Amino acid sequence: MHQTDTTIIEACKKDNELAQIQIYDRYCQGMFTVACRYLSNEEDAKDAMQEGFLKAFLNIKKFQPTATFGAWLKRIIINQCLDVLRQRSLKFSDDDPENLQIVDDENWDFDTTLTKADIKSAIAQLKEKHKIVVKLYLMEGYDHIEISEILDIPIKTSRTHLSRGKAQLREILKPKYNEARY
Amino acid sequence: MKRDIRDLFKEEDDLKSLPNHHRTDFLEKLSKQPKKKLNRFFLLKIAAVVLVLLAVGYGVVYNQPEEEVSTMVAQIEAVEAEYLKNIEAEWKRFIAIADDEVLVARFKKKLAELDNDYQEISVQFKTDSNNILVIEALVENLQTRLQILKDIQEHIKILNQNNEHYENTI
Repeated sequence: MHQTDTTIIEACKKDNELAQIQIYDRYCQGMFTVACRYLSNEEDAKDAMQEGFLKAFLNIKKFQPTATFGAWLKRIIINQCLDVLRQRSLKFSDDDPENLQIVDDENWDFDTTLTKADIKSAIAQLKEKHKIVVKLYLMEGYDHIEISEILDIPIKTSRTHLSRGKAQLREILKPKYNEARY
Repeated sequence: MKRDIRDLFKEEDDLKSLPNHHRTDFLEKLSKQPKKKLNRFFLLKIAAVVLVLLAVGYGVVYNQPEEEVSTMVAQIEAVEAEYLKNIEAEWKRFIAIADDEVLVARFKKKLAELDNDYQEISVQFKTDSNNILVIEALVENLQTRLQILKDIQEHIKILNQNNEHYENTI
C-alpha cells in the first residue's frame, strides 16, 4: 500500500468527503469488476458496489492495515453483492447437512485446451449455491475458513459445495473437452 | 495436457467499464449520507474565535458602547474584506488545478449557498451590530469557505501525486 493511501485513509476516518471520493475513483473500476461476477445486471452491480463503498466509509475506523485496503474493501463489496442475492431469497446453506461426506481433494487440473472463458461460462451454469462457493474460491482466492465466514455457513458445507461444484464443472466441460480433442 | 485452473484465475481479469453516470450517482449517494460530528480541530478553531470575540464583545458592551459599535462594524468589514480576498484567490487556484467539472460545480454551489447565508446574517448584523452570535456566525461562514477551498486543493494535489504511480488492487 502506498504511503499516500494511508494518508487518504486517515482523512477518510475523519469523514473527509474529498478523500472518500479519491478512494472511490481509485478503486471503483476494480470493485465493479468484482461485483459483476456476482450480479449479472451491470446496474445492480454498480449499485451494490457503491453501497459497499458507503458501508466501507461508515466502518473505515475498523480497517486494520494488516490487510491491504483493496482486500478489505473487496470483502465488503462481495458481502454487499451476496446480500442482494440473499434478498432474492437465495440460500447458501445446505438443507441436508447429514449428507456432507466429502473427501478434500486438491486436484484442479483441467485440460489445457480449456480457456478461462470456457471455465467461466461453465461456472455460470452451476447451481447457485455451488456457483458462489466456486467463485469465491477460484476467482477471489478465498479459503474455506474465509468462505464460511462470508457466507455464514459451516466450513464443511463450504467444502461440500466446492467439491460438488467442481464435479459439476468437470461434467459440463467434458463434451467441450472431447470436442477439442477429436 | 492438464493444468491447474486455479493458476489460470490468479491472473487478474480485464477490468469492466462502469456505466457513464456512475460517478454522479455516487457523489449524490455520498452527499446524502448522514454527517458525523465535525472534526475536532475545526471545533477548536471555532472555540478560539468565540473566545476572542467574547473578549472584544465584553469591551464593546461595557465600555463605550456608542463609539465602539461603529468601530466594531469597521473591524468586521476589514476582516470580511481580507477573507473575501483570500477566498477569491483560493478559488482561482482551485479552478486552475481542478479538471473535474462535476467537482467544480459542486464547490461553486457550496460557496454560493454559504454566500447566501452570509448575506442573510449580514442583514441581521446591520440591525444588531452588537450581537456576538451574529458576529461569530459571520466569521465562521468566511472561515468555512476558505477551509473547504484549501481542503479540496490539498486533496487534488495528493490525487495528482497518486496518479503518477497509480496502482489498483482488485
